[in-house]
Amino acid sequence: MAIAVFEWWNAIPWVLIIIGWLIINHQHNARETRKERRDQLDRLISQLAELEKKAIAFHTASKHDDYPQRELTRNISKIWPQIKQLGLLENSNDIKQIVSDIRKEITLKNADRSTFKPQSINDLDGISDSIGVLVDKLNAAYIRKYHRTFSMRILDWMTSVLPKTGSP
Amino acid sequence: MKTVTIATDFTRYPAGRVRTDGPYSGEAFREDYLEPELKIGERVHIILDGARGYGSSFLEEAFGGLRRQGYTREQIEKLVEVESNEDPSLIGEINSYINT
Repeated sequence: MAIAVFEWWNAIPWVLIIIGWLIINHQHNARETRKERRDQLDRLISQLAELEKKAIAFHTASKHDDYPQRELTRNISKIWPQIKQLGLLENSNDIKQIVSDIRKEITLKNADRSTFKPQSINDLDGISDSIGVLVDKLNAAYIRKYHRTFSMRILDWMTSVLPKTGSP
Repeated sequence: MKTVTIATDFTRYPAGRVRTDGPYSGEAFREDYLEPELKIGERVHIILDGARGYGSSFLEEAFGGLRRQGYTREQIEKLVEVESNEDPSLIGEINSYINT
């Protein structure tokens, strides 16, 4: 009667299968997360484009209207929570400043009944500029986070693992 | 220290710079909630969370307006504390109005 003897190298194929499965699973999850974040970012960019249109329509209207003023304020207040949800730049002071710039461009001057005068589209470049800056920053942050090359990832890993050196 | 939550103590829809813009303007908030506390040297903690957004004209009139009323930057920084977890960009903007 033959007795099966377990030798350690008999486990090698199973170990390789498990490692391969872990790598594929990790890559699949990373791809899904990347897709979800891209969808979220695209939705936010669409909302910002809509905000720009509504803000320009409000400021160029022949008379002041409370409803769009309130809607603009509400829509601006939704920008930050969405940036936070994206997990791209919520710790960046730059982004806080840009969100604040958007709010100022839309609601600091000419937004209230007491001061409203119909504006020319040429006076409203600041609205488009500030929204454009935010969209560019978010796109750049997305690419930095989700489309890094293999060599850049290795470099990231090395800089996080290697002891930091510097002048005392 | 007195705590004022704008959404529950004032309104969920703060809007406008001056009282003629509406009942929940920056001027109304400053005159009714901030200045009475500052006049007696009482610290006031303002919670911005919960409201349906803030216009910059409201913020400028409420906080920047204190400077125009004669309060120094140091007095305001000492007596007024602002909190916003939902939108931290509001804090920097309010500081910019107090510092100008």
